[in-house]
Amino acid sequence: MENNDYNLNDEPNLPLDHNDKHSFGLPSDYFGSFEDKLRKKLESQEELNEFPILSSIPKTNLFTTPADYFAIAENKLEAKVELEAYAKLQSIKPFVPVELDSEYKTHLQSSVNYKVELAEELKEFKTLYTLDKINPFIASDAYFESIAERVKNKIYSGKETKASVLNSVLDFIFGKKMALAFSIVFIISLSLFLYQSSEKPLEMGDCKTLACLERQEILNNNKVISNLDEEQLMDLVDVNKLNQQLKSKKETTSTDKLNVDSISEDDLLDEL
Amino acid sequence: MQQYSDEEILTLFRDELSRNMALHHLIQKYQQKLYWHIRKIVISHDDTDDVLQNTFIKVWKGLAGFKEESQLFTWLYRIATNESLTFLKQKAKANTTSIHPIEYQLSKSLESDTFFSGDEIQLKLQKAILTLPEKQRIVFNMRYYEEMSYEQMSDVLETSVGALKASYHIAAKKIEEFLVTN
Repeated sequence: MENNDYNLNDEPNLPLDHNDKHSFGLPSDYFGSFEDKLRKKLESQEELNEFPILSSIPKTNLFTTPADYFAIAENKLEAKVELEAYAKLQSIKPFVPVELDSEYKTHLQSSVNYKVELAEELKEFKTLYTLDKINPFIASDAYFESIAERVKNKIYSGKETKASVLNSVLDFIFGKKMALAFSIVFIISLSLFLYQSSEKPLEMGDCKTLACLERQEILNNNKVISNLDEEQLMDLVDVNKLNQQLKSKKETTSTDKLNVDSISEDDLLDEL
Repeated sequence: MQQYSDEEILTLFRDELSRNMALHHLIQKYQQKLYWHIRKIVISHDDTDDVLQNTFIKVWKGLAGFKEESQLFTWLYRIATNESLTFLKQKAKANTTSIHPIEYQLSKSLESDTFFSGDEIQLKLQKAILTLPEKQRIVFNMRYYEEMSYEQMSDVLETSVGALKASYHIAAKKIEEFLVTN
């Protein structure tokens, strides 16, 4: 300081009029209680005079508090007072952060790096990159609580698996594919049956000419024959064949007659 | 509930007395992961339930022969994937009435699915995923949703890492195109 003549009037932290008797403040009723305080101090000193060793030990506080104890305590108290109005909130235990172990820190580091790697990979796909990576699927209520029991039951009973084999066989038999195949087979066989019953193939017999074939066709079809008159019917008759058939019939009837003769009366009555 | 390691589950399984417990812990540990993996392939919740149960039954029956050459997790995923694909093939075969491919039917069923909570854009994304060929769809879901590493995917799908990377890239490109054009 160049000028040693320090002027108190220049001091900014003092009231301008430093001679004013009210420049320094005092706690209220300081002088009123001063005598009482002094008296108490003297009393305690006199008490200790009986114990010279004790009175010789300086009265110092040897105990210390953690750093910022009182500041923290004040904050805690303040928070507690604030929570007084909220009973439920008060009942919840506050979260106390635990010091992370080094293993976790390394794990965290590597997982963060991995996340960054995954994000980097998607960066070139702008729409996909901006989308929130959320699982849109949901499972039914309490599904995961019951699945273990159900799997265990399935494994230990073994019935379910057998049933599933049976089900698969039944599914195969009564399945859509089999039903389709059966219906196709049924339709084909039905149509074949109907076709065969209505359109019997023409029996060729001894026919060697078209006329013979035509006659054969007429003979096979009853409806056509019923519409023919007698002359037309006579034309259709194969005379030679008819003669042969008649001859053979005669022979059989004669042999039948012989047989009839040999049969006794009782047997004939039985037959009747 | 305490979650057991794969090794602990296998140890429990080897002992006849604790075999039931092993099954319980195996299901508890993997049910959700496998459920969501299967769900994204077969789409319907009821179908997923069937496939998941069949998966666990197959796993249980084959666990005695599990050689521990691969991780239990990869083995489970492989079975779940194969079961899902087999299921879809059977479903496609059984459905002789429809002329549309199974993916189209799955896409249509999403619109009326009560167990689907996605908004319009999420529905669009799922529809885009369903336009992909089967294998590409699985690769995309495993990488995009399940965030599996290519090495893990390679073990599950028995495909090279390079092929999987290419497959994912093509799938993402197709989805992007779908989202932009539709």
